[in-house]
Amino acid sequence: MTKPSQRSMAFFAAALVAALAIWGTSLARAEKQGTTQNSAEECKMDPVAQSICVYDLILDDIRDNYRQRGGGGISGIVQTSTTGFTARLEQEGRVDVRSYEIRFEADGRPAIVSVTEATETM
Amino acid sequence: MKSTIKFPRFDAELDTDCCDPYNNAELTLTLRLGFTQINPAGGAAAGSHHDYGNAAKPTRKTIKWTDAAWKTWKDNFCSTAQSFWTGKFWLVNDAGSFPFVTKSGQGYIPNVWCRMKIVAQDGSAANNHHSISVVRLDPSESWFGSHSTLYDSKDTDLVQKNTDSAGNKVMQRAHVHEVGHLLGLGHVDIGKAHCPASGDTNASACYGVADNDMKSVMGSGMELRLEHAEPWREAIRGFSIGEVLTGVLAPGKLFLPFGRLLIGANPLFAVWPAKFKRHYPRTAEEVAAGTLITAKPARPA
Repeated sequence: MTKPSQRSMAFFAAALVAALAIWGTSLARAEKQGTTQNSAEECKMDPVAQSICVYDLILDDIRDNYRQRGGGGISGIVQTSTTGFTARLEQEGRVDVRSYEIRFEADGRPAIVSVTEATETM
Repeated sequence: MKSTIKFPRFDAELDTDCCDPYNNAELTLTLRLGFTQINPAGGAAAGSHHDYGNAAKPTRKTIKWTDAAWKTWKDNFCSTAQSFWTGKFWLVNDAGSFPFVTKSGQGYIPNVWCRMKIVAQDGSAANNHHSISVVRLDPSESWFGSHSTLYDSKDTDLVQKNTDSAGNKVMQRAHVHEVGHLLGLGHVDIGKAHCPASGDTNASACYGVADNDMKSVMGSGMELRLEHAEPWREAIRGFSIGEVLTGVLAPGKLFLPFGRLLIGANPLFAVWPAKFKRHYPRTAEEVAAGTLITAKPARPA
């Protein structure tokens, strides 16, 4: 027969193993999906780090929402104002231009306010 | 009888000599394409060319055309695009046009089989309907930014253009889409709210948003739709109305145009509905009754 303290130790050990397993699974899933979610800490580090967060956000949006996956791919992402960016995607006879308006949260993390798409016929 | 009408985008030839109780008139649209090589500068074996021919765009590696490669590419372009478009549609003759009488005395009204021919010519030929320059991509290149008058050697390849809602690739051979434009067809979603005809009809949404639309050859896919018969319908209306005018100018032939009114047909308001299936020639009574004949009928010899 086990003492109460031994039962507590066993319960604690089991909970620790379960927590580690869940954390490990989350890490594996994040790696598999190639997510680029950046922490607030990274985004407010310095201007370059914050820019990287913005570009990651735009790349994530293109990956998830731009379905015309043929063509020449992304030929450029350019900052047009403090909070404005455009991504250019080359296609046969045209360039699709996705314009992003970005908002910076208090903790420095960027968020997409709006996306509009236009086309330049070549 | 064979007669030709020259349209800006193509020549149309109507052949009614082939008509008999089982065979329809044939309408052939001929595209004469003038191809011009684009080679690396200075006669070099290898070089580069900017996407869309625009110096502000990325460059792709190109190589010089050889006579054999040029001939092979043109032959492949013409044969594959032609086989995609030719012989796919029949136009049901609701105009009563081009009636003929067999030796047995039975009269028929033929439908029209839609054919297409592409003729590759030198880019400098005076009678080209369209002029197209072509770069030869280096084998290491997978893509080049082409447009309506600037193609690349890989535009005949089947490549992914879009992704449907289930995540499946939507594939297309660019040249068959471009030939659709050369015939006068626009993108699949023109006229819908997300692609107004008054806006830029080259916007990505015009290539189809719904799965079914993006799979159209005038979207991002390879599927023909009945609306793609419009160039042939445009041409046949020209022949049909021309036949009426000929009748007016030669009163002795008036009977046939006016006789059509008796069977409810009117060339001026005819629709010439397109079908994917062969529809056999009909008698005047069958036309008047609206009968469509898609199985080989028994006809007097």
